[in-house]
Amino acid sequence: MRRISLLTCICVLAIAVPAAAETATLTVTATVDSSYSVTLNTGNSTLSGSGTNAATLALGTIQRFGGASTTNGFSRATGVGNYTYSATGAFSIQVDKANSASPDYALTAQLGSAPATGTVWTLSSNTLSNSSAATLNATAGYGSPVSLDLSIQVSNSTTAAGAIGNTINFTATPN
Amino acid sequence: MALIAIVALLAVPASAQRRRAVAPGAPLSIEFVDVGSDEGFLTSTTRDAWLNVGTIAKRDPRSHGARVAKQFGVRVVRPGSVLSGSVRVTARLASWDGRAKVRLDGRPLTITPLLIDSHAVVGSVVVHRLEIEVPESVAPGPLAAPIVWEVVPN
Repeated sequence: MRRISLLTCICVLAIAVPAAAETATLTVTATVDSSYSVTLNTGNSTLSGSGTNAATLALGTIQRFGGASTTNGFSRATGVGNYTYSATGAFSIQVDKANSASPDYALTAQLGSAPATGTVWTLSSNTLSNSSAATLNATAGYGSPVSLDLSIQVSNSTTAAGAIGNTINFTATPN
Repeated sequence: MALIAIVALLAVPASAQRRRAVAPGAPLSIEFVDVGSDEGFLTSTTRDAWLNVGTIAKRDPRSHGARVAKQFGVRVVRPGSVLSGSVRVTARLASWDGRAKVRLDGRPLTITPLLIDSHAVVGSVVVHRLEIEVPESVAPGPLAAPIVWEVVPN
């Protein structure tokens, strides 16, 4: 009788022992960084690569006399000793932000190389050069397209026939 | 008294013997281990560990937030024992400030325990995928998400 009682006691103890839970903590650490994106988009002129940050605007052949007076949204106007192809709202640029407290940004533009002799590049009333950046907007808003007018003035006499293409580098600096 | 106890153990069904391989009350420990190309992000590999996923920034303009994913391994061991068995593994966030979404193996982690594995084999490394998503509106700065893992013998 005493043996039976002891066995019963052992079984009860085994059942009563709770499962041994074990815990450990894995702490995941990270640093959230601000980021920005710049996008060029087609306007009155069609951009190859629209929607990216590296696009091409092709005008084809431009000339004072004859040829096409309009090309890819640009229209020709003739002046004394020169002529100009210009487009209002040729394209737009948009800057978006993420994880940033910056309220707005400064937008500048600069030619990638010296303009061809006798040519003048104007972007929304700002003459462009390769030596310094022109400020297009000191407090542009994020998430909204900034429409840009582009014109290229060509001298009748000093600009040689040939390619006059250039690169416009845009820089957006968070304020 | 000893004879009676031994007889009682032998009488236990086989299925119960398997469960007993990780006996209730037996000490277990949880280890976190580096895996694959994500090696080096864990600063400790036993019990409490820190997984540094580095900088999180929005890379894809089409996405709505910043994301990062890392893999790591979890191993449940019983020091000094060669016995195998299985355990039930759950995980939860110790705290949550709402700034980031944390997913483990594709499922969102909250402060409520999430069943990760109902029959994890003791001694084996199980690789898990951790994803952190930060909305664009979250301010930059450090982020920490403590994940509490709990294992209970089956």
